[in-house]
Amino acid sequence: MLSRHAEDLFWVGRYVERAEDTARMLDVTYHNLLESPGDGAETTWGELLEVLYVNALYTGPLESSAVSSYLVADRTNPGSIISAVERARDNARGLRDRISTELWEAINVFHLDLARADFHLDLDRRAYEVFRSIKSRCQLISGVAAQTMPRDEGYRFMLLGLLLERAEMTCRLLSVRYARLAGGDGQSGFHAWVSVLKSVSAYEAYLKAHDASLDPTDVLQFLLLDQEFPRSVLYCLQQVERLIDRLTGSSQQTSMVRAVGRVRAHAEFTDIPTIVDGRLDPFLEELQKEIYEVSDEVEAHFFRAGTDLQLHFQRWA
Amino acid sequence: MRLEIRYLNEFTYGEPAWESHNLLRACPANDEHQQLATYRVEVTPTARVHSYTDYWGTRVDEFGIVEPHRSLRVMAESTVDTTTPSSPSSVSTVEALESVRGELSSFLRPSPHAIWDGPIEEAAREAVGGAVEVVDVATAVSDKVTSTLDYVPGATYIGVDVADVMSQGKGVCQDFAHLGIAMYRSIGIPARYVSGYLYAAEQTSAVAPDEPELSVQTHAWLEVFVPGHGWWGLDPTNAQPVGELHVKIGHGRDYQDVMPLRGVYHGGADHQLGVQVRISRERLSQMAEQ
Repeated sequence: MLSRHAEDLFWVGRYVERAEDTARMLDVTYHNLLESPGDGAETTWGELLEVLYVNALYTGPLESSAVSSYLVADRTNPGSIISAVERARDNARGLRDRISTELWEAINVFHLDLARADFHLDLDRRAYEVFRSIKSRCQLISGVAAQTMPRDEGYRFMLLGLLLERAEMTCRLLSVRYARLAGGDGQSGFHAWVSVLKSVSAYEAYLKAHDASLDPTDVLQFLLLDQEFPRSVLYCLQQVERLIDRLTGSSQQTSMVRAVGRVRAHAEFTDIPTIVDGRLDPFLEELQKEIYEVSDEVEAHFFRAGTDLQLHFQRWA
Repeated sequence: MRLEIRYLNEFTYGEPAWESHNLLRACPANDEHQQLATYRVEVTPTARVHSYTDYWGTRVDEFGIVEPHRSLRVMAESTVDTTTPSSPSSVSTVEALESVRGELSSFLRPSPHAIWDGPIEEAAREAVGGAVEVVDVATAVSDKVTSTLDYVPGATYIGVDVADVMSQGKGVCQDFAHLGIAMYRSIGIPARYVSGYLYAAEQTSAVAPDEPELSVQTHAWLEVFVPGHGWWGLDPTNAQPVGELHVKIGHGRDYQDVMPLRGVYHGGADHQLGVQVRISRERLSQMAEQ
């Protein structure tokens, strides 16, 4: 497969996951604020922009409808849902012969619907439906991909992009939210942890594994290191490692293989209780940095490897 | 004549190669002079082969191997029925070429392997003398190439200048074809490069071999455009018009357009290539295990 196609598929995965994660975070932030006293709203919206790395770009007021519409429908925001879906769709269009028709249609219809929607009205009147429908449309895309794509390298590249984005998003969410949450206690702390869990669809899964007291250490343990929850950082990294293994044929100890092994082991063998007090921030920062490194290595290894191409030798006679 | 052809390329790498992408042009053409009966491609390690017809009408088999591998084996097997093309009977002078000059400009301009200089054009003009009929001009130039070059295997490398080939006075069939093409084009005769197989014991003599099965090499010749007749195949390497021993794969401006196998891969530059072409009038015997 051409590295150009591999890269496009990788980014389809990333963009779709980015759109979904953005909708999740918006959803939880929005509804969490409805239930809490009004004083923390500005900080909370500011934090959300920080998690999504667009706080430096955003110049509007820190209130719900302005931030929501910036994150959902603003084409000038490269991190907005509409921008992400647009780019996923642009990539998919060039991959029509590599992806199933169903997958293309799922992405294209989503894109068309987003372009047609009147978000100013919708985000004001029925934000819940908007976020829910974005989430389910993204899940439809990954579901259709899972059901219709052959398990070839194209599918693996798409999944690789999706998982790296997911691992990174979960880390970002934790690093921004934890600083404030660690200080809070009682009711507000409880609600805040519920919202963190809900934003990654982990609340119910968490309750099955732990009791309802929502001990911050347990929550971190769950979101970072759970072996079975598909959105935990460790789970994503294990899948990434497995995919890279399959994609390279595993016989080579490249810097990419080492980078992914390093970050997976770093996460896996970290003892959460010992870092909860004071050392969580540097840990999450390092983890994020290592995930970026894996992305960079993937790009360098699979997509920018053109520099050391060899020509098949020919003779004439 | 029904011929079975097995074209085999085997690459052996010093260190594992991966992400190998290749284009194979080994399928005999289906045209008015020959008919393709069967064709199949086998790649080891196994790869999905995607086939298409390129701009020049040649079938291309494209395949990629991502996983690391230490060797690559590409085999193309074909069965083809050949006939002897008729010689141009029409009497047409070089002036008649004026009307097709625009249409055939690709075959009149220099191309990477057929760039001529003054001496090449002079040699062509000298060979032609006073001849005005395209058939006579074509034959004269082809004969000139045959007498200028000695067939010496390994004398040149891919990408050599035809001017150097001419001054060196020796080359292989690709050089004969390229020098001929350069000469024709230098005097305004449209000429194109043909890649194919030759069923003959020696590349320099297009004589039907005694034994039914032969180990040969890929061959190259050329075609010139004769108004009122069409493309006419000439083989300067063995000083003959193209006959039923010639199996054409495809044509192009020069070697570049119909290279039998081209490819890129990641890994070490160090690799060995083994090429084998077997042609048989009967069923091909099974190849000895390597």
